[in-house]
Amino acid sequence: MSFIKSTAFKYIPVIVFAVIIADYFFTIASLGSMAEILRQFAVVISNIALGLGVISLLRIHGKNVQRRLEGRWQYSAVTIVTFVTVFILGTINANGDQYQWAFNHVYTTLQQTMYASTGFFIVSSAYRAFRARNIDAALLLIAGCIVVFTNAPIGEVIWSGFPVIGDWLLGPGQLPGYRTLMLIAGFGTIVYAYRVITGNERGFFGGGE
Amino acid sequence: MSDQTIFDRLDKLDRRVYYWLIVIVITWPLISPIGLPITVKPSSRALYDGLTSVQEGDVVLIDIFMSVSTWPECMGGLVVETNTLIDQGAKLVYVGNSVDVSRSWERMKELVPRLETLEYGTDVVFLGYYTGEDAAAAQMAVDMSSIFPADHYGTPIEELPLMSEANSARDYAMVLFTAEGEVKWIQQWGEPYGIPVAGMGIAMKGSALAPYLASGDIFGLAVGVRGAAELEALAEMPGAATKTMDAISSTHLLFVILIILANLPIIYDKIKGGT
Amino acid sequence: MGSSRHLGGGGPHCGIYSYMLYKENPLYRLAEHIYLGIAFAITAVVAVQNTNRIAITPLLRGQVVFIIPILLGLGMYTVFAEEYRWISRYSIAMLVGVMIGVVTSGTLIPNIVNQITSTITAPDGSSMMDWFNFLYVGIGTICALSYFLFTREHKGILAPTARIGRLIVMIGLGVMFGNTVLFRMSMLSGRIEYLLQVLKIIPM
Repeated sequence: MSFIKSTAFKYIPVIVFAVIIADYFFTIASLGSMAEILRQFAVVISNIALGLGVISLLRIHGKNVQRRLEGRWQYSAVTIVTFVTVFILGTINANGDQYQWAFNHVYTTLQQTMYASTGFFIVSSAYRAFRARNIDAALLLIAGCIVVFTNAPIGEVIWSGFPVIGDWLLGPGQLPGYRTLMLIAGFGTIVYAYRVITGNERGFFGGGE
Repeated sequence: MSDQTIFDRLDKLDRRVYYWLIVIVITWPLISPIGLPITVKPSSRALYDGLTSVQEGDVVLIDIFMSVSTWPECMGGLVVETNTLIDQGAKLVYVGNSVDVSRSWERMKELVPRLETLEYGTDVVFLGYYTGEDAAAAQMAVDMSSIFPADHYGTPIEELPLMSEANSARDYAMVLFTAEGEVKWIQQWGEPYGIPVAGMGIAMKGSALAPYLASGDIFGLAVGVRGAAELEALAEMPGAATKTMDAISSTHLLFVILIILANLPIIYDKIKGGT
Repeated sequence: MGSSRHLGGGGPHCGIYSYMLYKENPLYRLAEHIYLGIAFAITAVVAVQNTNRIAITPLLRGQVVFIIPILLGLGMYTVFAEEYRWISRYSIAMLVGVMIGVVTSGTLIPNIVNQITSTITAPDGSSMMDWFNFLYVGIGTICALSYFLFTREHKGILAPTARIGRLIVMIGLGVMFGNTVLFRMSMLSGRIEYLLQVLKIIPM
């Protein structure tokens, strides 16, 4: 039982990885079928796993309500009630008027509003945080400002050189930096895969034996 | 108190002043548009040229990765892409990797009324939400029906004539990504099967996509609301993105002014020989 | 219907921005927590619908093999129970194995081979700018790669190349910063436009 609990699962990534990689390099019908089934399994598992975040949310807010945390438990209760109501409405009839109203008007607006609020923070940080204290920061800010004026039509009105320099920055100018990051990420992916199949990468399996 | 410079006072200014400033600066051009001209970048032009090279009857896969929060960035470009492909007589298959993709699909139908004139199931299909990222894209390249046994509306895929002729990557003329998620299409459809990949990314992805554009892994790229406005200009369909560009101009100008103001003391100190 | 739409959308919208433009207040907290609840509810509804579509329906139609991923998917939830957490490791192992297989095979050509090929391929044209760009990208990439070499100290020949590489990366980050400003401002413009439309200051 200890073997099943603590060791057996480590062989699964090795076998699965071998099948998928072999299917990539060789055209063998049986390998292809096995790879297809494995990919479908992964899609189904990741779909079912979407609920993990939901459970975590309910646990956190449920504890807030249970402990009657001052100033918080009422809002946690609102979260739980909203979740339960919308979930039941959606499960019973996802095309129903009430669920569609919540989805189309409340969720859509709130989602857009929450993400857009970061626009405020970037404006206040423009004055408070973006200081060119050394050559590196100065280069970053100058490149950033040129691109800002390239993206905005007013840049060309202020100086016709902005789009010229900006287009160069958006093309070859930034290419070495991002190409390097891409190469590093590519090699890192291969190294990570090697660490997983040799059992050296255990972080995602959680703690304990 | 008396030796406080204007920059010190600006530093201590309540952040809400900046927030209200940005609201005013955005509101003004929306109420009173300026209409500054927009020049088109080569990457946006390449994307548009690719769209207009699609032949009648070609099947195009469009991945609506954007959530409702990125509508201002990408919806305008998606509308132009859809209108252009309909003009070319292409057949369209839509999928989406965001839980609210059905909302984006409904919004697109409102903005592109011509979609309703197409015969659903034969000329256009909305397969709906999928999860699994690269694994899903790799499996779709081999067998779409294994990821989508039915479309978003629950119609079995066997009952959709378009899907019987477009069930694997080799049946598609092109893949267009929207907002994000482009890497899986490049890696699982573009490289192994040679399917042309292009699309529009959110502005933040512009840098990450530049190497793919330079190496030819994608043939065209429109970046952010600016890219969407460029597509609207090329297609001569001014829309939401073009309208937003005036607000972009005013906010960006304010942004640079604030950065210059913030750095004036540092520049002054450097000139005076201070640290 | 129009007023209910604006109440459902415009009300929480103002609630969220009341925090930025005024101060933290109960309306903002309420809108924030409603958003949490509704966002997760929609995620859960979509997950249930999709699972039904891609796994349960095929299973009920006779494709018995789908019982395996369904059980593995449900096994993920044992992560919340200390005593049975080991079951979730099998689900994660399956996911990790597929993902590293798919991503590793996909990354080889586009992310590594094509990028190196593109860097070392001389331009076709004879324009000075093409050659300048080619040399800039080539030398810049080598210098930036040397900056990320952490197994050797940046001394000797590595010192200037790593320094140049760092500056090259700063240029790239600056460009991304400029694009980020565009991203944030376009989203905020969209929201202000919506508010102006609700207030009938500009037409829908």
